[in-house]
Amino acid sequence: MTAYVIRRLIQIPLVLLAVSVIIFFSLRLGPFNATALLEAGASNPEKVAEIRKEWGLTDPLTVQYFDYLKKVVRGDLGRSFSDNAPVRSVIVERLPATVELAVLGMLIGIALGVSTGIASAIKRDSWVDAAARGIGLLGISLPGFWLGVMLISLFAVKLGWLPAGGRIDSQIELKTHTGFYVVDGLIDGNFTAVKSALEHMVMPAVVLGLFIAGFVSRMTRTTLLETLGHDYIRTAYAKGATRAQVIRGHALRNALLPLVTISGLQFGLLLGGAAVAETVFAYPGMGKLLVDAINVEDFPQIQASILIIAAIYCIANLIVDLLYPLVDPRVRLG
Amino acid sequence: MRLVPSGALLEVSDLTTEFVTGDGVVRAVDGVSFTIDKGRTLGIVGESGSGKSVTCLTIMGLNERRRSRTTGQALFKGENLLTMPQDRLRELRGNEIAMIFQDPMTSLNPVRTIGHQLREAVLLHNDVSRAAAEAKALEHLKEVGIPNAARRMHDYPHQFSGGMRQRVMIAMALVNSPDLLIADEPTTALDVTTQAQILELMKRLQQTYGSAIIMITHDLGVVAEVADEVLVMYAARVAERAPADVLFARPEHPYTWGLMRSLPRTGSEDERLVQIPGQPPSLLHPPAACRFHPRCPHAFDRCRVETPQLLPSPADASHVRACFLAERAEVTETVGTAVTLRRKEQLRVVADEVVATADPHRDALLIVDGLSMHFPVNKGFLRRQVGAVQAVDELSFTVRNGETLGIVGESGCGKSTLARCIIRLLEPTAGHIVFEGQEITHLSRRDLRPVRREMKIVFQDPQGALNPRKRVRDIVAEPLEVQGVGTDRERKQRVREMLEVVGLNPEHYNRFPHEFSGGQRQRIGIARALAVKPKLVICDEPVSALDVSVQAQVLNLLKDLQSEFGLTYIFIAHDLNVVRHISDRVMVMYLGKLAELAESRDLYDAPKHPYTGALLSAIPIADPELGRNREPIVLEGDVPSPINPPSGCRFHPRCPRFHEGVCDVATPQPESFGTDHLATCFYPLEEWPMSADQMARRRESRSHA
Repeated sequence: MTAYVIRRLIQIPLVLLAVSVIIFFSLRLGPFNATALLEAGASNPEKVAEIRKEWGLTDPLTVQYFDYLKKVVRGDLGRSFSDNAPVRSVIVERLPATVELAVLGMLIGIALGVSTGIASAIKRDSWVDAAARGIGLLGISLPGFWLGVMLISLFAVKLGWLPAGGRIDSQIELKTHTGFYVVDGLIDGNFTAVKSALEHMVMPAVVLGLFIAGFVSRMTRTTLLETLGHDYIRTAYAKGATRAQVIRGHALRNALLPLVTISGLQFGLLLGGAAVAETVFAYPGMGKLLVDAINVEDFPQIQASILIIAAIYCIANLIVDLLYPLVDPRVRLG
Repeated sequence: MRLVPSGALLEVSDLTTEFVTGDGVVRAVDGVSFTIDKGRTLGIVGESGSGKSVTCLTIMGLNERRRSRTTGQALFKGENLLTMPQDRLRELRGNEIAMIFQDPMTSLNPVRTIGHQLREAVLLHNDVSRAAAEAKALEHLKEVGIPNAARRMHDYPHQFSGGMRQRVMIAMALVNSPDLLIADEPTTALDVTTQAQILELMKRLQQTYGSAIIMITHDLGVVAEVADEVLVMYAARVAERAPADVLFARPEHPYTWGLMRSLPRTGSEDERLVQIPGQPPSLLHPPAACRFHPRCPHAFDRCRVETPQLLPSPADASHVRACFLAERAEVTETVGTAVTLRRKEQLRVVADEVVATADPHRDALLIVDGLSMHFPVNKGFLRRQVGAVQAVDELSFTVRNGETLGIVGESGCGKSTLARCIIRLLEPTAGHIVFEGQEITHLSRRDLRPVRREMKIVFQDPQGALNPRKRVRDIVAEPLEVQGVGTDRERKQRVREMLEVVGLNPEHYNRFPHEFSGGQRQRIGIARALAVKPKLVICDEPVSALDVSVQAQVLNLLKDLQSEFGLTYIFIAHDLNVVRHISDRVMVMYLGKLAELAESRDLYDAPKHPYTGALLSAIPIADPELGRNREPIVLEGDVPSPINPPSGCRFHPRCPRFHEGVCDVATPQPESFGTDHLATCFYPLEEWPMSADQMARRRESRSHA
């Protein structure tokens, strides 16, 4: 088992190395001009060349890359082209926002998906099943940005129940310990903060969650139906269990095993989907950070953000893989 | 017809179950009636599609309610199981009526400990604390013979062997002391020695708890050993019902008779087995009137238009059968006489004539010398080899031209691995294989090509062995193409010949495998193997996956083809009766090693190795009188893992003759016992039959010698 963990831990930096190479070189070899660098109105070609030289963009690519690598290994992710601020501090500020949002999105998605999936399986071929499958299909197919805009226009503009954007009410005072507003609020007993944070997260999380729910619902339905055909289900009935007992005690445990595996993958999907949701809701997370950086071609910001997202993805999958033997005793790692 | 409830425990009358399927309505159980009293055992015998399992699932109410329709009555202690409210039925299930199923691996929840599953059985019906349930579960686990029961309560099903899992199922079923236990093919998925253990356990528990048992099986031997009364089912109906003694002595339905005569048994080696032509019918469109008439050699006009009713035999009122032939008194005599003759043969202890079928001086077609096949086990960070699965270890034997060598052994003995080594699907890790004088042990694939023309294999699973996307004619032609035999036209001709030889019709040539039955698919596999006219054919469990009545057809076919084409067979099986029937010599393997090798008759009449003795005594005999009075040698424990085989003689931990200091230290070598009889044992059996006690006692006296 330790051998397995070590092997996986070694893989992560290798993956990140590959990612960094791809991003670094494609930015510099592609049709990008690092426009963020240019001060407003700088049209003088000499001025432009000077700025580019200052930032090291005229050095040979391999030199640039190894310089970059040396710094990254030391923890220095570079400075933003837009405002020369250290990229790392911006990320530290924004990352918890996205993680909070992704977690809430996962929870909503799984709760919705599993419950509709179970209902679908139990009442197979009834209207419940058809409705659940229809909603699931909508969830997967509806574009996130459209759904987001619709939600805003309904709940924020028309009904005024929820805020239209941002992460928290600007009037509220909140001491940040972890960077996760909900957690920080709870630590200090600051329930107004917690409420406000949740109000701001709800809609984007729902957008993310609906997407996930679609997958999860179909998968739960399929695996549950398959599980219900297994012999040990018949044994459970033969022992005198009720249908509820059989589903709760036997079927679900087995049917949800694949869910554990794909949660790792889904977390990755969410990190990507978060970019859309955050942009629509002006939610200050990594996704929006990345989108904004791409818009102004802020190389260091883009590189760092993608690297961090990749790292989170690898770690999330590793955790999921390590958890798997806990839920399925037949599996041994390595 | 409403029955007035009598004292019987379970009274089933006119039970009919229909399933609504996409293709139509299937009547899986059609007018079945029987009763069973407290403490008695009813055996239900039948092949696939006979309705034996569905009958019991219906009684338990375990059919999918949406798609099934049931009529009739099933009175359990006077209450009708088919009409009672679900709550009441649930109270009875697992409590007063319990059921165990065929495959213990899939019948237990893989992600819950067995302790949890046992406790659940208790807690569903008893309002007790968890600790009390745990205690009860533990008690029963010990009672079924699980060693280290307390620790094993926390283990998961996959950590147990097949026999152990079935014991757990039995414990789970008996934990609430049910009045009726239904066992659906409980030993079919188990090795023959494990089967003996489980049957013995069930008999003992029946005496302790006084439960009635319904034993569903296709194995007439098992039925003869355990059942008081037998129900023979065919195509959803009852064909015959009688007390076990009566049924085996005087079967009166042609189907029962056919079943009994199609079983390979002592004395059958020189005959063709009686085969029942065709296969069990589809229940979507069953034959009209008597369901058996299309396959019945005695069918006459009445059978085709009128449905026979279950009527008592004039010889014995408790014996009922549904057959017009049986109602004609004079035929009963003929059927009976044939069966009586068979019993006399079984009672013969030693054969009078020794027919020399294998001439030791005939030339050797295949020589296997010191063959070992070890699969490495890699663990750790750097994938280092930490051990090896010793699937086959230093095995030596010869196969002579024209003979059939049978190889028997239980799971894990290495017989399938051996087959794959011989045919060079695997490259052995040590030793030599010499075929027709040529060493093929390490030949490259290219060099093997001409060899592969002379050596073919027929596999166990007829469904898996045929490419479902190819037509039959292409499947059979493939080896010809690969070997570059003949022109296109010549190949087509050869394919047609082969298909005819195995008994398939011209119209079958363009069909796909899924359009055939199991027996037919196996014939296609045989045709494919013989297409290039090989010298050696390895049959790896060719009939295990087939129904009993179809087995006989394929066995007869194999024998016929052998004499027609002068083939040499290596016949691998776990069914000792089948192996005996078809083999000239038999080799017994245990955990990768050779235990015994002898002429068929010698092996079965006078085995030398204690393991062979245990195997032979574990075979259930299809004769109640003989079956009940014998004491099978029941081995302790399970077959150990080939990764960590026991030291010295691999059989020593389970051997009734184990001598400490000898058997666990030194590895016995094959010793010769008369012509052509090898056994690998320091203390071979002096005589046969012997019981386990006798084996042990003799051991004592020898050790003092």
